[in-house]
Amino acid sequence: MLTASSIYTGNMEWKNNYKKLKEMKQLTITLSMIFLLLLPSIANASGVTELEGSFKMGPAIILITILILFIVVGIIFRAKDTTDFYAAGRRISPIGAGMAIGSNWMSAASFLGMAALMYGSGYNGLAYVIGWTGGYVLLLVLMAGQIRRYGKYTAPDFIGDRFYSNGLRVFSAIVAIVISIAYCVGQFGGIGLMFKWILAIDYAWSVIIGGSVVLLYTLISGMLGVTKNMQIQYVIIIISFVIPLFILTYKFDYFWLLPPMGYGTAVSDIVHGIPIPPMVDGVALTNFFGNEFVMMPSPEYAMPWDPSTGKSFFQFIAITFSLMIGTAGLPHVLQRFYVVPKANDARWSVVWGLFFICILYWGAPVYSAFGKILSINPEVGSLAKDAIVVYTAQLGGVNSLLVGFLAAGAVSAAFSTVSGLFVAGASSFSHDIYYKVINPNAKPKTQLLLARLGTVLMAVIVTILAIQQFALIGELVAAAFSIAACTLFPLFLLGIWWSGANRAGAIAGLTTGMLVTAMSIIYFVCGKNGILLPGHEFISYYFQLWYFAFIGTPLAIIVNIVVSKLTRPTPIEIKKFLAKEVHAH
Amino acid sequence: MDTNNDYNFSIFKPVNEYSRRNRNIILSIILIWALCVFGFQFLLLILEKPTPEKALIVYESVADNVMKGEATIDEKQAYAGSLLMVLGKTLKPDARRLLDNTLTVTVYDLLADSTEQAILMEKLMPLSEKRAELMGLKVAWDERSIKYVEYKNGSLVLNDQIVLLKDDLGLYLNQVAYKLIPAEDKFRHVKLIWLPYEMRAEAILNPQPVDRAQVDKVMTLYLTHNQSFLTDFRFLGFPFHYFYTAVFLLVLFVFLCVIYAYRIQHLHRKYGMEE
Repeated sequence: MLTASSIYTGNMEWKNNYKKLKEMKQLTITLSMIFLLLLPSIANASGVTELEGSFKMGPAIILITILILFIVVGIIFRAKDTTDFYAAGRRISPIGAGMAIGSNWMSAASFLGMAALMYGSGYNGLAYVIGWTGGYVLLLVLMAGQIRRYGKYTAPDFIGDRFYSNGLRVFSAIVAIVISIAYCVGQFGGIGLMFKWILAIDYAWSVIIGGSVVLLYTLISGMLGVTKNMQIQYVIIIISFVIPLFILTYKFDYFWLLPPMGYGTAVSDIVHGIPIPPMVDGVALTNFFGNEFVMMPSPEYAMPWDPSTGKSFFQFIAITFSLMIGTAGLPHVLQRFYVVPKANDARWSVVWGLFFICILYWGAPVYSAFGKILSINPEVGSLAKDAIVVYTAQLGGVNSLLVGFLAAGAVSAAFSTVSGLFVAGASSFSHDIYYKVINPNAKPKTQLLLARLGTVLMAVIVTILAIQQFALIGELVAAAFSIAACTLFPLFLLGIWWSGANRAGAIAGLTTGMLVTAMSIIYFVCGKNGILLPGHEFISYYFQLWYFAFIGTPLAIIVNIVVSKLTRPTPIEIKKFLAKEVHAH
Repeated sequence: MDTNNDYNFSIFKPVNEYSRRNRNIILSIILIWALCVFGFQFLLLILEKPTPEKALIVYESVADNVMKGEATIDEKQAYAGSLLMVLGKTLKPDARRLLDNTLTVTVYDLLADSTEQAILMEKLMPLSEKRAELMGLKVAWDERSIKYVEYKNGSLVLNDQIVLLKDDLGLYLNQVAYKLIPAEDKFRHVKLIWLPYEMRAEAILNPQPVDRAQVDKVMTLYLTHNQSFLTDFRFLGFPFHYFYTAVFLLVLFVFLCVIYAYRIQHLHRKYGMEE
């Protein structure tokens, strides 16, 4: 019903939005002017003359401009209260939320890591492509609408309420923080690589500088700023990623109008070899170094689980499964459904989100295929796999400004994900642990302060871990997925779809998931340091850090069900709420 | 008064028509999804056969004679050619070192003429020295015994020198190419590009007996692939299985999501459950 106060509030909101829009226009004009003024100097200074080694002025200016844009947008749309900070005021449309999902999802792992994995292990790398997209089908049919109807702010909030346990709330909040940290390590790795490429400084310093910028930005904005920024970031990420694809396919004489289809011939060329360089306008095609566009037959690039890649069928299936299940258990992904007004919007936001994500995922294998051909000459030397997307554009002779824009896109991809993860982690800390358990009378201001302190702490931990360079970006991120799949996914799945799942079952299931996680991490860390624990080979193969959820998740679900069956049933209020509100019985 | 059992809920036990339809939509979507994703990969596994590349068949047919020292020139050329077919791929460092040494010995042997062999060594030795220097620099940086700037500048200078020496060696190998690679070899052009990169002076200066078993193992590993008609059949330029996984599955995921969102929306409208 309309009341004077609601009309007044609506008018105020409209005025605020109008003011923000005006500020936004002024900002865009100012930044465009700065960019246009700088363009001639960028063009002169942008000579990217080598893959690595020298400071690249053009890409640096593009990156700085984009970062300033993010920070200013963050300031304009910054969080003013807790509802804004956690759930963006629930004012986002399905397409907007879909773009935010896409941007949030398209991390350094998608932008850089996937092509790296296909470049290194061929067909097995495609497990990451289908794993990171196929999980959205599960997320949509099993989670999206139901979670929105449940009406909570965060994943631990849902778990704490559904399983009527503050202990579980705290436990799952800690798990959410661990997942966010594991996920962010890969992102910081990507940020570090791109800053290293642009600034030509040591990797460790690149991580520290890049990490500080993303931290500053997240602290200023919060989720409302983040959500608005994510829509802008999505556009930047996609444009920067797609333009070089058209150029590469055109330049190397493949069907360029639709690069994700046109590169099919390139894959077949890799399999059968390119004995002499193709000629375009009487000139032999070459890479950036002048090496001819030729290669020996390399069927190992495209053939399934090729022995020379050291990957097996089991690993392909296990990675695909773990990533898909993990997708439906990641707190920062689930959290995105709280920002849309209705359950129906939550569902359509997933559909849009997946479509936006696929635009990038169809393109990633193109970079890997061209990267394979263009870098095959020994003169190119060994390249950092994780930067193969940028190197491919550079080796393919794409204009250096566009390569710089591509690198800036990679940083944006990492930024958008990290900021979402920081918000999810900080929410777990301040909302789920502090406000819900330690001090329910805490003022919103105190909660915001704690959320920001939590963000700083997470950033410090992530920076320290990222500097160690434990594994490839994609693999590090896959570890976060396995943790989510083993711990949170069973709680969401059973919590939503089976009223019989109770507190004792949830505790037992979560404990099982955590034990499998701990075992996998311990064996991985010991293996990395040369310590071989009993059963090292067995555990390292079947419970590897990137895919231990393949066994861990079913185990956690079974334990949860068995213990739930054997213990006191779920209280009637919870069942009633689930049946009436969530499933509309 | 409500009892605890009045609100029991499970996806597998729907209590009304809406729940039953909802369950059917969800399960049918998940079934299609699982079959298309995992079913196809299992099909690939069932149908695949370890298939050797042509280079492996050639290698196996001449390796015995080469090892016994009874090979003809053609057989030695075929042997070197098959080694180069593997060296043109991305190899592990140990495998590359092994094949590089074997190739260098074979090429040296193929030249036969002592003057040509001497010229080869004259060009090869400084190249090997510079490569060793570069490797030393990399090790020093890995151990952090030098600064990043030193490593960066040092490796740039060395790389430039290596490129010049390699080009010089390449020119010479092109002159004697008729002795090394048959003119009718389809990949002759690529092999001649690769050859100077793979020659190692150490293989001649400190000759070691060729480890036949190791070479066989490397050749088999890199030249055998899991293939079937699903991988050999081309679709829109792609090997079919690659198209299916990299392109089609993603289209299917979006399609399944759209279908689900529409059907659920329709279901909710029908049962008056609009929010």
